[in-house]
Amino acid sequence: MRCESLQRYPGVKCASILLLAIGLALFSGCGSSKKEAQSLVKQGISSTDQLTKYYDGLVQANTRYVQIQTFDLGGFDKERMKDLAQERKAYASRAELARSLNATYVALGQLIDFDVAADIKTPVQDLTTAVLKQVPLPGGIPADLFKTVIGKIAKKLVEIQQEKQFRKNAPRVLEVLDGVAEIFERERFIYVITAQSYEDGASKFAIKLMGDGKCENAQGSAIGTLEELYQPYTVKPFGTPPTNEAICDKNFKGFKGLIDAMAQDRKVAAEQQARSISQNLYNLERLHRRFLREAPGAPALLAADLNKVDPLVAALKDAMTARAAWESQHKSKSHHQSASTNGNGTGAVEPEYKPEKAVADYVARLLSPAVKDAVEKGGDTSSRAFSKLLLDDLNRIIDTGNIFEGILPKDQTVLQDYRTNTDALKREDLTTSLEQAVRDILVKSGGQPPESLTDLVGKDPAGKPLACLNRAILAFVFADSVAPQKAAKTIAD
Amino acid sequence: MEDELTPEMISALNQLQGDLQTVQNAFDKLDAGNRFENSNQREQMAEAVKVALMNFVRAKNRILGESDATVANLIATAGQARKDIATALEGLQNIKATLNTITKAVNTVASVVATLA
Repeated sequence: MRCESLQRYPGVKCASILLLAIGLALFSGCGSSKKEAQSLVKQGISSTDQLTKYYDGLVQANTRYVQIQTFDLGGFDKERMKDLAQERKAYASRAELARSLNATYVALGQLIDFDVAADIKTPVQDLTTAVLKQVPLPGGIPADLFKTVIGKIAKKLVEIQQEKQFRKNAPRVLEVLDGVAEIFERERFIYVITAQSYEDGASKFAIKLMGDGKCENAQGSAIGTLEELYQPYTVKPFGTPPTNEAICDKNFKGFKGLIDAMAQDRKVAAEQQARSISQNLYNLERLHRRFLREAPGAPALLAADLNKVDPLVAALKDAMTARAAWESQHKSKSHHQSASTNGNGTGAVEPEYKPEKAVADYVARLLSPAVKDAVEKGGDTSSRAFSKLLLDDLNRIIDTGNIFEGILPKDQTVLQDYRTNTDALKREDLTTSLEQAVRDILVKSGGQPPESLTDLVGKDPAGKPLACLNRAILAFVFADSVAPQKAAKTIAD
Repeated sequence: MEDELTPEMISALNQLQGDLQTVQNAFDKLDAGNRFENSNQREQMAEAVKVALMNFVRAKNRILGESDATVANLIATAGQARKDIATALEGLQNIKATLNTITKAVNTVASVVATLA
């Protein structure tokens, strides 16, 4: 190779320039890594900010709840006040922890966002100029070219140092994140019932202020809440309390209904909010681990956990064949039906496919096209490459799927009932029903599931516990192929 | 500390919250309609609500309390991590000053050498 463009610099050795070019090419990978780091920081800040606001909201809800109870029931003695304060302090300390983790991600962001290259540009130029004044370049190498090259090398070196520092500090932040996520998962149920208790207490207190439908028992009116209903046609209701018994009764019932419905929505939302935080924390942990290029840990499947691929492939193929057969039969029927109704399709309810092997069917539907093709068309499923693709698919399903929700028939409302009924005394029955519904389906796929598995179902988990449940279901149903998860160490260990 | 709440713990919390809801509903119903026979009866019923509430709160506190030490440790670890990150950032910011110092030294040595020559 000839460096013709450099021939005008006779003192410059072609080999040196090539080496330099290679060096710069090697360093150029840092840019994408910096972007990865910035993306991690962005997600870290956003998720921990959401968590901080959640805990702050809990502190506020708890404080108001105690104030309502004090107003309603009278003051609490010293001992009881201490216990009530202890609960509030527990949420406040978790808010402080979330805030502290958020500040740590912000600090990591400052570390990676600092434009160190721009910061040292002039000092490097000055130093190079000073040195060149004392030590002239041999062979007439142009000073400008030399300065440019030195400047670029210095820039890359400091950027490498910057990324090194980021990578050095990121593991400790992950350690804190893991602890925060573990505490959140352990206590999530308490947070939800606390938030729901507040909604319950506040809404009942509001209703109580309206009395019981009799004019003489009303202490307040919720007439103002009507304003929202007829926006934008604003009419300011008069604040005078009605004295007509019929109106009092009608208003009371109407407003009670509105407040009850609003409280119910908010209680369900509290559950959903906690689930969403679980998922976000788990996603952040995974992103953080990927950034650090850590080997996947539990509940992810490792290559060694996927023992014999053949039984799994056979089960998936059977599931695909069964679904294809049903769909072809159903399509021809529905075609026949729509032809007889002039194709308008009105009144026809789409029948739902209820697979015999629901887990295999669920997994088969989520396979990547390459794996699906190989299974369906009898491709080479014995190769290591196929095993790797299958492993990736299973891990994706473990991390982002929800097998137990996916295998429940859509016409079964057991999960919806579980998620929307907030009556504490009915929760146990709803949990049992949910566990039983999933157990009934799993029995057809792999026999009687262990209690530990159905216990997990009964918590309707999200985030990492859901991934653990997905893994447990796969290990149970495809026991010949998927190894169960070993007990993981916790922060308490 | 258990890794997660056991079904028994959850069941107990459900029961305590349910008990509280039941007694609170009964209290609210009478209170909203001013149907207590006298203030003494209201106080007695309020006390029953308080007892149910405190049972629920204490059960939650027992579980939350098990993680208190871990929370404190994690806050300390996060604080230390921030200190280390700040030191690393300071290190990067110091490169400029170091380069300027070296430049100054080179120029000083050069001028000394020039004077001696």
